[in-house]
Amino acid sequence: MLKSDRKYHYKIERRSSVPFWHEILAAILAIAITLLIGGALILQSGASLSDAYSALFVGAFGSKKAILETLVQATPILFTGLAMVIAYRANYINLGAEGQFLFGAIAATWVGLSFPSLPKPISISLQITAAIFAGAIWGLIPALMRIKVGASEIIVTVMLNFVVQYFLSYLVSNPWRPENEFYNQTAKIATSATWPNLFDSRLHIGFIIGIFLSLTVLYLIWNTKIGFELRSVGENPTASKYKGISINKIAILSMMLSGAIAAIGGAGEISGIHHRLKPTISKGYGWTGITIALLGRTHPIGIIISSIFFGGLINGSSFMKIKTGVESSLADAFQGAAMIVVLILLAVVQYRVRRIEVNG
Amino acid sequence: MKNQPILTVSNYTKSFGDVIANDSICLEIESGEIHCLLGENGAGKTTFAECVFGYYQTDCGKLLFNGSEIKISSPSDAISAGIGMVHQHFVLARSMNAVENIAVGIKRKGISPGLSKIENDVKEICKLYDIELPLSTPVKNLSVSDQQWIEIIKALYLGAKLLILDEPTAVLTPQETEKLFGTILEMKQKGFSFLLITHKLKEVMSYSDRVTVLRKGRVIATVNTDDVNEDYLAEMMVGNEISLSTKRKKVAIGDCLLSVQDISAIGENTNLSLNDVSFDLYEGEILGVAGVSGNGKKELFDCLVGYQKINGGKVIFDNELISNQNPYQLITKGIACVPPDRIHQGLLMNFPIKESLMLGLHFFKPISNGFRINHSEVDKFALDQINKYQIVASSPDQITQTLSGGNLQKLILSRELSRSPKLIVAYSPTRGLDVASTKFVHEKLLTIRETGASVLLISEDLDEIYTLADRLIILYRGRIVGNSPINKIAKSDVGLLMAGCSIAK
Repeated sequence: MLKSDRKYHYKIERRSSVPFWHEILAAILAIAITLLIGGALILQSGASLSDAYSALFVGAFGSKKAILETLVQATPILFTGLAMVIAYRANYINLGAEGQFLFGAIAATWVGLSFPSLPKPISISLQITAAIFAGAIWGLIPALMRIKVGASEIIVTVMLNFVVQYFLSYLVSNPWRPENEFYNQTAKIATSATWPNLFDSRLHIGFIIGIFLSLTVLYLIWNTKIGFELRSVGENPTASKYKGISINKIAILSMMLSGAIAAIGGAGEISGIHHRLKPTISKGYGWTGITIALLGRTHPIGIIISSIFFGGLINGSSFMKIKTGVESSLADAFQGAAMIVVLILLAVVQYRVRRIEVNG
Repeated sequence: MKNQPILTVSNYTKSFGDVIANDSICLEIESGEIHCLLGENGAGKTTFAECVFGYYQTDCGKLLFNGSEIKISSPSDAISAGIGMVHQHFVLARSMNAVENIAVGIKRKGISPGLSKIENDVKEICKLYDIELPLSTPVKNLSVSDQQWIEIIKALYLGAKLLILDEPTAVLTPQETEKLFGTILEMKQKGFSFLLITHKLKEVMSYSDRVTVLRKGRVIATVNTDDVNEDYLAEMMVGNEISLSTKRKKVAIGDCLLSVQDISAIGENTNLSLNDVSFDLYEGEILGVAGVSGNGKKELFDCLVGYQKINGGKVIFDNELISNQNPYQLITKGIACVPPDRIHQGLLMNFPIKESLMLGLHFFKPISNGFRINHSEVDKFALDQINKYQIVASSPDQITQTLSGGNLQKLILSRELSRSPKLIVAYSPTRGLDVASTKFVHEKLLTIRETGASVLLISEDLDEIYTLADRLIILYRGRIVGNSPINKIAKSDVGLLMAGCSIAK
């Protein structure tokens, strides 16, 4: 029988398991497609593609100064992305990183303003502790609500974001606004409360803390007993319960850790960058954190890489505007595109095309 | 004049990914015939039935119904043609009653569902076949056997001339099984045809006209039942000679290991409560627990393994009070458990095999020191178990989901037995397993006794209990209604007790 006599038809079907390297490929492909889409937007705005992209790259990584500023932009989203990851591994969707971040910022400001004469190491330790408390409580509430009444943490965490945002607005317009201050912001925190800068730039120790936390989370999740229990509950709560793992304890632990991590990010942004509390502290870092978590395949190393990539995008796009006139809101467009592309690729990679020979 | 076959299937092939579940299957069912599709678990019987019924789409092949070719792209095509199916796992709306469930899927014009007409029609059918069915009780409060009758009547009502029954007696008592087949034979007289999917040889021999044996997705043979015997069919099913009997070594019975005294509990999601359940279990013994689903087996299992709270009474294990201890404490004391639903209650399907094997063992050395996981020990343990239990897997990093049912059960067994427990509480340990794996599990449970350990065997399969157990207790509506050595009570009496009837002493 000739080969051409054979009839085939093609079927699309779900894979039984997705090879690990497919996931990496998907992430890389997502970045590539996002850059293509960005390219289309750049062309649309009339600039030259090569000028725009080289400006983007130079602005992001083209000099020591650029790299440092990229890392500055990467720092807050590293924290919020990491916060999502630790909750996600226990099968909790924490969309409250934005609010937890802000709450951490509030806590650090409180320490900075209330205890101006503390030596720097003590002040910083206290700030971080206060932030951890604040974030942990903001993570505990949705966990308790899901445990006690089955309320979806997706909704509760989003709602709690609003609570903090308005609380912050209130603080900076009223009790914490100095008498003679025109703008809605607090006084500057004492110099002894600020976080040390690195390499003579805006980059502060928050970045180092973020890397350290990522590696700690990595170790915790895959190398410890409690990390195994966390993943086990995320994968199969019933089987975990049959083996004596307390689902409720794990839920509370993961959400509290998640909130605490986001909050430390907020503390860093205050004490490392702005040195005062104002309403514009967060440029939507909590939401960008979701994209970071997706792009980073909910893995701490992936978070580090994608937060630096996005930091580069944000940083580079302001240079790109100066050099070529392309709007820096392109970075926001990139974000949205990246998210959509990642989600599509995530779905596509689950399937395969199979060729079936038709006989008789 | 030979009648036309009601169903002719040629070259049905169906694959899922790399797995070819049905390979060029050809099958013919005569009109008015009871045709059995026989094969072990995993042979492809249910897949084939679901293809005929239109739930799955085949890769290729064709189907003739009453001589004319029809294309079945969904169950509604099958139903319109006259094919009905009663699935292994029922597809009824649990909050609706029998009449409402039967009304679903009837194509009619207008807004009114016409429930009263349907109810009258259903009453007629019940009268015709002498079926007793409470028509206004919600399905969730009905027994498994009643639910099955609803499925059958539903198929009849939608005009089925060929009924596919998938493992219909898996969860029935001996009496209910008799009643079912009695009705099937009556319906056969009236011209209905049946495709009966089963792995129970006795039923095949007693009730069928012809048998098609499937093995690994292929048709091995189609024979007239009168021309063959059980051993022949077993050999066809498995592919080589297989001894159907399991050897039992005599083991000395020791002291009382587990004493359950008057425990009461209210099931998690059920309304059923266990009431004053008491029994003892001795070292070296296998105690069977029989009962129809929904009468307390799940609650008893959950109570004894620490998943469910016990409200009253005591559980004493090895002379120590253990009621309401959590699973971790029970594992340390030497109690292991094999849950009925290995996928949802026992394994981490998306994780590597070595992590499924760690579940429950991750508290202890050498896997962890309480804080840190020792990865080399995890790998070593996994490799050990894979070898010891001949689990078919390429490496400990293979994802759990890719294993077959038999290998998944071996994973669970190897994990549970690794700490040499004193008591194994096993619930339906061979459900869905092929013959070889079933034998493996049975042999493991029997050899454990030789070390003085005991087994509490909760099972739906009376044959399994009779193969393995020394004694058995019977649960009905959350109470124990029978407690006897195996050799002193007949299976049919057990069936009666399971159904809540009393037996002559």
